[in-house]
Amino acid sequence: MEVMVDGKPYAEELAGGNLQEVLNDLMGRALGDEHTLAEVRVNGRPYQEAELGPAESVPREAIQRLEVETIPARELALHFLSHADDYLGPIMAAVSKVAELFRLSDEVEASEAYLGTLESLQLFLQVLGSSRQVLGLDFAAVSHEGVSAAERLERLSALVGDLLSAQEQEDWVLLADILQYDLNQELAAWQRLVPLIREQALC
Amino acid sequence: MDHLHRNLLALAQHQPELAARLENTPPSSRAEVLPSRTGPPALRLGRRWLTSSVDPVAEGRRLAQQAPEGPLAAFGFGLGYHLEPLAGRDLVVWEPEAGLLRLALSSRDLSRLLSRVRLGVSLEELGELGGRSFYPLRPYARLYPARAEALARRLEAEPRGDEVRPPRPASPRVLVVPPLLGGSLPVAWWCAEALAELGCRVRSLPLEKMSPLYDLIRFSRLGEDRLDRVRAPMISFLGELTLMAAEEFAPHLVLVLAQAPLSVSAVRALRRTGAVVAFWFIENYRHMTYFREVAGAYDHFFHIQGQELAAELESLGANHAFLPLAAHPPVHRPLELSPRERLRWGAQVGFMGCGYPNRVRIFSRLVERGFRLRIWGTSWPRQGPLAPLVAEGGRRLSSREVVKVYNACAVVVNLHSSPEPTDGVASQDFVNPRTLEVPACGGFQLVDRVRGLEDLLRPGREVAVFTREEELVEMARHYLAHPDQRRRIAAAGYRRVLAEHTYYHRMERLLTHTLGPAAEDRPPAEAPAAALELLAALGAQAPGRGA
Repeated sequence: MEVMVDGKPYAEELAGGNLQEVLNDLMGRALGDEHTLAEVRVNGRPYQEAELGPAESVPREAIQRLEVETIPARELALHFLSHADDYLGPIMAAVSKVAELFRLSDEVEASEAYLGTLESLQLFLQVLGSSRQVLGLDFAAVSHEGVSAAERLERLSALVGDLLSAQEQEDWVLLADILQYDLNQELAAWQRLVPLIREQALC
Repeated sequence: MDHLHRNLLALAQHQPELAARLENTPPSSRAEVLPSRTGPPALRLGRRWLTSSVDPVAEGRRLAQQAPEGPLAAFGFGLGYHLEPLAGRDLVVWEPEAGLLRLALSSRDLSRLLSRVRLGVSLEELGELGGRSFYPLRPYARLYPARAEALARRLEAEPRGDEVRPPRPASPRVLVVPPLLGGSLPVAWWCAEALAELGCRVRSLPLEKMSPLYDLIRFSRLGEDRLDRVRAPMISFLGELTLMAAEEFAPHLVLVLAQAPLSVSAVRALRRTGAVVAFWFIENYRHMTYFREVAGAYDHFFHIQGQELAAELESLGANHAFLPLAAHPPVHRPLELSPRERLRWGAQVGFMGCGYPNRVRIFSRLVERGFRLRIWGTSWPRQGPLAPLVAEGGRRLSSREVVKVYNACAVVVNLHSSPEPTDGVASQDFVNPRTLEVPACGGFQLVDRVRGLEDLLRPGREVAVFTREEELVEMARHYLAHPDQRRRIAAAGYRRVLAEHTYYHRMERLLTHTLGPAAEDRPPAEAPAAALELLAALGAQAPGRGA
């Protein structure tokens, strides 16, 4: 398997029986904490999960050429903070839609949409956490309307707990209420907080 | 004035019976009304919210915006928030739990809404639903999925307002599926005859020919497991046979009678042929509980009992309707009997029917006190006070013989059956077929008062009714002494049954319910020509004779 990192050949032998394991090994050995993956090409074509399936399902033997482009983690974090609205806006719209589905439709249809939205929210929180770490941000020092980013994170975490509890009780109306009135309010607060966090990162 | 009374007053303007019932209904103990975060009351049942806990008013408005156009049939009243914006529309509302409705009426002023919608706590109370769209309150549909399904199916079955329901075919093909044996078997034949008289092309499966084979199973002493290995393939075979007949005959309607040997999968397969499949459950549901397994599988489920069964059928998702039993004039009719026949089949006071435990107990007690009675029918005790009164050796009588009994007895006693020996007089909630068959024969009947009787015959005018054991004895004596009164009541009962309670009437109603109304150019099917001719021929006979 031929491996290229940022256009240069990578000579070391990588371990792993599938694409995911190979990438994990590469990130651990070659990229460190400073850089992160920006793009992956397999056999000359951009890797897309929709086309090739999950990285775990792509066997090592199927990979003749692996090309990765990296980006400095700090740059990625700043990019995320600059474009957080691009993530938050669709999530908020999806949350409203899911709440409406729980009020109007059967819960099977609503649950499918809900799980997709929850995944997007978790990804947002994950990237927010990585950015905080990479940029060394102090969330307690950033606040809007008297509530700090650290407190907002705690609220979000509590809301996710409330959602799970409503879900367990199959109380779909309560789930819709939490989504529509509480979660969306918190996400709107994050829309206002993220620019302030970015300012702190640039200082 | 508090909310409850203001609301009940508004409801009573056009639904006084429901208002009175709700006034006496306790509020649901499982539900509570709590202030929402924005203030207006919100509704919670157990651990689940039925309205928004934050802003139920906004939620109601949003739900109403999503409601289909045109007349609506709403499922679930909630606290009325989702109905208030639609109060100007043509709206009927089914609240499946009266206790919840009562709680809602106590929680807020709904008088404006209540004065403009029609409410029901059972599907039957909603009346005609043709042309309405389904508008469910989702938390209710999740709580009561079978009832929501029942409403949705009823709406599908009835034509929309902008659709003209096509008249049923001029000569619909009807496949009648009878039981192998038992009391429903002649009813199946009478239904088939009535349907043919009404212009249907009828095919009736001769399943009774299997009865001797089935008897091998019925009377076997082997264990149930062994018998099941014979019974199951037999049911499967008869289901396939019925399906084969349906594929050949392509019926518009398959009418299945109680105890017919059809599995749920056979019923579903029949429906897939495109036929409407209806079941007539002419049994007491308290003792024949198999209906729970099959009711939901049919397009239409007809029954002979009232509200309690209706509520259970709704919970099973069955599309049901009340269809009482009837008389069949070609069989149940006045006869000219010879003196010998009168001697054999007659009595001053006679009873024809099975020796159910309640009958045995009540009649034994009355006979011991000197009540004179002659009994026909099976399953009577071989010993004790009733044993010498049982005629014809206690054998099963044919329908023709039964009619002779009804013709020959001066007073025909009718006591509704129960397997519970302690059940007293007038304790049942169904009207047995004898109630209508005796007057159709011109006989004088003394029947115990059961729920629903008044809807069929007027007590005291068209039938004599007793409510206590002592009253049975007193009334029998009275009417034996007053033959003119017997004749008058018998004649009035005879007229009423022929006018309203024959299998022609029942089958016409069933056809209308399942296949739609008859085409306008068809003559009214109330009394078919053959039946009228028969009645004219019998007109010279004066019903209400003594023994």
